[in-house]
Amino acid sequence: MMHAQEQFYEIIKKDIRFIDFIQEHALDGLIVVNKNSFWINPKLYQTLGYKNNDTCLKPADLLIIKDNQLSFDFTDLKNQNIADCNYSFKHKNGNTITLFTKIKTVTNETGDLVAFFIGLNQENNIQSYSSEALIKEQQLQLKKQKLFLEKCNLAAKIGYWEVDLASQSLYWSDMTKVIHEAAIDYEPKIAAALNLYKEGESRDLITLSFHSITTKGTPFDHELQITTLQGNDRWVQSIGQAEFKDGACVRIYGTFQDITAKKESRLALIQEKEKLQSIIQATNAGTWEWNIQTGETQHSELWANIIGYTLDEIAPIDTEKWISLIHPDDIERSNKNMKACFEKQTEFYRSEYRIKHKDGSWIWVLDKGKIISWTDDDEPLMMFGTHVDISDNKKAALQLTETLNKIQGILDASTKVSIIETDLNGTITTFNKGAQNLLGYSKKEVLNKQTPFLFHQKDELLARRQAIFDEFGENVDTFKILTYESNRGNYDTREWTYVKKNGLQFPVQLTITPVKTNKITTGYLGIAVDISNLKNAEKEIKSLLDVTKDQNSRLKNFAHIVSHNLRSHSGNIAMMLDLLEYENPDLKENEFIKYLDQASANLKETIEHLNQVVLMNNSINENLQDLNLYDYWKKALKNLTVVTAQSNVAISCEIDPYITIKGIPAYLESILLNFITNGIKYRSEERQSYIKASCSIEDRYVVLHIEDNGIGIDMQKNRTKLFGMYKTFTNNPEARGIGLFITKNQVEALGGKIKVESELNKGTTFKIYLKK
Amino acid sequence: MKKIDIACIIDDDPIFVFGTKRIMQLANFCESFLVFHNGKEAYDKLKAIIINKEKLPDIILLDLNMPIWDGWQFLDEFIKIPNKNPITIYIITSSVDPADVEKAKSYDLVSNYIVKPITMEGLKNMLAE
Repeated sequence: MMHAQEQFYEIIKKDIRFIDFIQEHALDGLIVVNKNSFWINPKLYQTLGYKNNDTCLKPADLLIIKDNQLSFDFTDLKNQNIADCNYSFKHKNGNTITLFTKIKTVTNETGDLVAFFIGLNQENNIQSYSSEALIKEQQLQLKKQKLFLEKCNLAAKIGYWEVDLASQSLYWSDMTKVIHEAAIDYEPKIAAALNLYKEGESRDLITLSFHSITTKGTPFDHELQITTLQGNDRWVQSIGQAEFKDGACVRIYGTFQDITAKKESRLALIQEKEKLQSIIQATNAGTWEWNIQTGETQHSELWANIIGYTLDEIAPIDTEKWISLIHPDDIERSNKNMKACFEKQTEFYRSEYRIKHKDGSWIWVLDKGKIISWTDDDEPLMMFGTHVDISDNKKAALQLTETLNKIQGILDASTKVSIIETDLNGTITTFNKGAQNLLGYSKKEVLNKQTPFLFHQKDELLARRQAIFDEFGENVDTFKILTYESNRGNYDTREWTYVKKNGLQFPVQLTITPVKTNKITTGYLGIAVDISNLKNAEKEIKSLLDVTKDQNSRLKNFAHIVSHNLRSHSGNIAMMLDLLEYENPDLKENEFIKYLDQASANLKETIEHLNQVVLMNNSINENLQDLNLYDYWKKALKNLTVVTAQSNVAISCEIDPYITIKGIPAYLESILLNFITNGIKYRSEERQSYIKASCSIEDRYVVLHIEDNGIGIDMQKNRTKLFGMYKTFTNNPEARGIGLFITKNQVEALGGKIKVESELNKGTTFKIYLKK
Repeated sequence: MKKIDIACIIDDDPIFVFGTKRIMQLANFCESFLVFHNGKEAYDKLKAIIINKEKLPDIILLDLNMPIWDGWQFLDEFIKIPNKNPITIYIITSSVDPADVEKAKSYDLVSNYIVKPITMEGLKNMLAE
């Protein structure tokens, strides 16, 4: 809301008719009242005997109380229809002065009441003059008022102009001339004056407005561009009013103000803001605006989001709050940067600091700002800035430093690995400790002097060159022999022989990779590992493999001898004995024959076992089938019906009837038979015996649990013997010491394993792991 | 029990041949024997018998491991000779190699796979089939 005095100037600037009112009715004083203020002009103070600067008085103080039906309150003035009449005012010296009071209402464009002009005249001013004298007096007053107005306008840098349409003459006030950069004695012409408006938008608008004001009386108020008589471009505010007489326009008049500075700074501001806005949009940054003089701030939603808030949550953000969010160690640095900017040492404020996130953690932000306007005293006024979360960058920077240190560490620490970097031509640029150790050259000897050819075996290089030619039909020379493969985009790892400074040779495995900067190869990195030990080990393994192969084939022969020849002989002995006894029945009683029979039977059994053991390893490669564990268990029990019935052992089965394992039927049968017969064989006579079978899944295995409450095994003593061949540790006459040995081998041949838990005189649980 | 006319034994082991013949005689298994000591000899003779349309054996006991031609070679060649008379072939061997057992099953002519030694009981079972 404007102050009444300001409003007064506005009004008379816009509408010259109020000047007439003042000339006529406010010769001895003027009070302007608007909605929230008032203004008493210096003349009224003078009339009432006050000095100009006695401005602490209110209009009501000036009135004689008995006449207080007049109020200078805006609302009262609005509500009471006060007639123009005499009122009594207090003179400073105590006298009463009667002033004729005339009230004029002022409305704005939309017709709203905005102010009252209260004009005050001493009665005799009007009535005691003769008409001639009155005219003279009026002319004098008019001149005075005009002068006064000119002065006002000069102070406000407002020019005045007037067109007399009858004479087609144009009048410019001095200020108008100044604005146009015209000489004081310059005589303006209408057409020429219109042409001073900048061609295009400005001139078109003024021409159009000039036309409509003269024809229709439409007032105008435009911000336009002119080119002064000195050729400079300026922004002006031009306001025009028309005066009509008998339906025809006789006079146009108005004000003229230079608004270049205002306009340009406004345009510049808009431009600056737009520029910043677009930058900000591109950088995903939070923004802030700060009126340094008032402390008012404005932050964007994103600014708040960066530290975990919504803008509503954290607003308002004044300077104190902002400082409270900054990490204490960073405030000083930030303030220093800000100060430098205030003192115009730097154009931009820039600071990296930590700011507290809603969750309590610290966020690294990059805060950048620029002062976009200054006060007339050259103090910073408006500042505008952005906030970017740079936590990730900071972290990455830290990590990078760490990684670089690590790499350097690796380079230095690799005393057994040669790391050599070269430029494009092969000249060595890095030669680490490992290279020095392995090759015997010092850094000094090779760096920037030698290529890796120094320590490569020449024959190998030639052979490689030939190989490249054979494969790709390309003739490569010098360093390209080494880099050819890696340049084709492949990892090039191959074995080479290095020659030490002292002439000794050793095999290495060398990997060559191109070093790239921005996708352009700038050099090569060769990492070589001494593989002497590896080579020796390889040789050893090879000879071991030969031995194993040899032994394996002997084993196969042995297997054949066992499975065929030994069996044939033992079979023949058995057959001969059989026949002999058949033909000579009395020999059955012969002790020798009896023992021969027994020996023959033992031999047959031994061969049987031996055969199983030998065959086992030969059939690993057979395809494994899916076998239903439950079915095989039932089948094994069926085969053992007689034995189980005699032994009185309770056999229960909780095997999942749908579960299958990978196996060979004969093996699975044999394995199950073995465990069941073992359980029966080693039952305890002291209690009701049982065997329980169940299964579970463990990783890629089906685990078959076979639990008994038999005599148990002393695991402490017998763990190592348990699965050995021909090991028995009971006095059971049926123990042969072959069953578990074969079973274990069969389970292992199927890719499984066996675990045992046992306690003497309590029982044994076998866990047989078979592949799913 | 059906009496067999001629039983043929193809085996290089004289002890086995002796023993088997004795057991067969004792069991009154057949009228007469044909004995060959390797696959090749057996093939040649049996082929001549077929060509001359003489009397073929009713049953052949075939060993696998023999010199010159082994039992498999004999089988491979013998099945190629066109012959309308049914002959029952038993493989009688010391081999318990599962691969041999599987292979024997692939020949239609082979009725059974018997692991040595042969016994009176085994022979009786054979006749019962």
